[in-house]
Amino acid sequence: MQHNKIQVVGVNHRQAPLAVRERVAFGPELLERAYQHHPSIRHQEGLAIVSTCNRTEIYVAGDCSLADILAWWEQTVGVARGEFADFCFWYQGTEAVSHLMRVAAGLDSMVLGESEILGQVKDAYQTAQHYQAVGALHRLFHDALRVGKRARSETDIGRNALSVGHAVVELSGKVFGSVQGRSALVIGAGATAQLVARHLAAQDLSELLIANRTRVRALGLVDELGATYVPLQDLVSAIGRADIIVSCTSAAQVLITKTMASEALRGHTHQLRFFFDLAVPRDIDPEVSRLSRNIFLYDIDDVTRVVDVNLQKRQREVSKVERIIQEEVAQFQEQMGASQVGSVIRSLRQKAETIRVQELEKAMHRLPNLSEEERLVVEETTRLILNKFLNDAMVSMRSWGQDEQKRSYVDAVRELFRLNDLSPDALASDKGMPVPGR
Amino acid sequence: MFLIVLTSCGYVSASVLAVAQLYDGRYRRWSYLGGGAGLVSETLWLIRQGAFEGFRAMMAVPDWVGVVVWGALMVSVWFVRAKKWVPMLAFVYSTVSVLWLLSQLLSHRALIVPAFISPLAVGVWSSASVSAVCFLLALVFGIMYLEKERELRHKRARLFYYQLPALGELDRWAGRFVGLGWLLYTPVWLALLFLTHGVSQALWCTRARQVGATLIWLVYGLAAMMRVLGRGDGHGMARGAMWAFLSVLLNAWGIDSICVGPPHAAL
Repeated sequence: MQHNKIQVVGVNHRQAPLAVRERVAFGPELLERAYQHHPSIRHQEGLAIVSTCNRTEIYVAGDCSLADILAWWEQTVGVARGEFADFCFWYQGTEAVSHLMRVAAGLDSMVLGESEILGQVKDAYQTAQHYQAVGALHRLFHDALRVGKRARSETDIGRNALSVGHAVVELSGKVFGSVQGRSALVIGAGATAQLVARHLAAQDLSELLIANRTRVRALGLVDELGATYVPLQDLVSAIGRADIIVSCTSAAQVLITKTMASEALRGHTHQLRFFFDLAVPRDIDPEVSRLSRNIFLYDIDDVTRVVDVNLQKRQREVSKVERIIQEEVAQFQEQMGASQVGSVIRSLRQKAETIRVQELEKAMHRLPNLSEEERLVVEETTRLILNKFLNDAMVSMRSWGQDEQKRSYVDAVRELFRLNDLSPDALASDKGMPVPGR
Repeated sequence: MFLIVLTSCGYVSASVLAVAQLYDGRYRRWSYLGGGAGLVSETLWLIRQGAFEGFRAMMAVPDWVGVVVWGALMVSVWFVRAKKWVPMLAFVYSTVSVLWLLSQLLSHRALIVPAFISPLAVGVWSSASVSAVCFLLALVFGIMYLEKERELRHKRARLFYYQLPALGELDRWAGRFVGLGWLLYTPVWLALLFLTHGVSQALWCTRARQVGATLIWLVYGLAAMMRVLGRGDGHGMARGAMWAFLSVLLNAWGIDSICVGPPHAAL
């Protein structure tokens, strides 16, 4: 399998609108059907599908034509290829290898450096393995997953929050150290409040309070997160109990006045507290931050500014990740070259051995009077001749794996000795492996 | 002299490079090298002082500050290794460099009059040295707290926002060092009363050194008590650690400069 026979066809958030992406995506049922019918793609030697909300990418190994892959795709998802082909990208060889590595490293994600994609690539690989479809793509996915891990451990591409919910947790961490064991109050039950509450609930807080004007709207979130509901009338005591206070209601007037906060924090102003006002118009009186130097108050603009700086920091890490990818692509090429040479060497030796054994048998029939000892001498001599003859060729061929310019020689050897004609039975028996299909 | 110059160069270059590595991580290795060179040459210098001049040499301010600086650096190395707080080195090296250069450039008197050297004096000296290491580290944590707090208050995610530990963490360590330093300084202060009694037959005298030592004990004691009683905040502790360290500096150098006379006059 040559790396230049790896290709990827797909749509992603960069080229295709959601309306197209959702039609050609592979849901769980479609995925099963796709893998069951994947042998219908002619000459393919491996297939894996990465399908997430932002991308559907089909990785194929082997001498397959783009038309065959698209035909299989349109047949599986039931969408005419004319409706999505214009939004597709198609990479081959090194570009395809590099693309998967970029995807795994989060460089191709909508949220730069997000870590979820690494798990999705891993899932895609495991699903392909489950359906025994991964074939010659094994090493590519293995290497891409390693790139994803390296990118996150050796660079800061996955560090620093890029969403408001995550930024609330990160900023709180900058003040308190660990948010674990702290108490938080979320005021509101709308989309932003839910997002923030979920992020906070994942931090193993000692207490999560949710305050809302209407109890019914908050109860769903309270049940989901195991939080405690607080009516707005009890806001003062709830503020006094919480280390982190996040307000994101659609109230037209200020919800937490300076007087209210002063009353809530009386006698506890020496404790660190973080107020987040994510509402527009604002819910918290800006004067609250003047009550004590231990009170931090960030509004939505402040949090967004932090997120923007975080994004810039991640963008500065891109070049470091690109270097890791370059390094891994080069290593992948080298490994593929070496394994390609290895298979040709095995085939050549096996073919030569088959010929030797066959010709030796014929010779033995013509020489029936030879003693057992003489037979062994003749057999050993043929083996030595073969080994000496092949030795130089083997040494040279092994060096081709490291030399990019000489990799095409391997194809010439395969062609010259007709090594493609060898049956799998012969190859398997030579390696002492079970023969597939038996 | 060679070791002193080498130590000075090592510490100064390490502080410059440690600050530079806050902006660009590539300088980290160089700051380690500079700091390492300073630490090694200072260790050799301390060994040399001990070997050739004995314990009496350690009673002079330059040697004593050398020991304190060395101890603070060793504890900082532990922080860098155990907690991965590499940016802390920028603050430690800067503070240490200033102290080291001051101790080498200013004229000094002995901390303890050689005539009084006894097992008790050695114990006092050791306890005072360790407490000074604690006070120095409390100062460093206090400075870091105020810098981080400044960025968070001005809502600017810049250098310290990303690199320094959380405010709560910095406050905890500043408080711990103040408390530990004060505990270790208490026997020093009591011993000073005892030594004073030996000289003047009275527990209290208004000699400059004793007034200075009492000032240190009171200032740090107040800060430690505030923390134990659950009063006071991180900002107060950070500022307190900075101002209180001034009393340590005053006791080490100021009193010697102000109180002219025979060495024991300062006691």
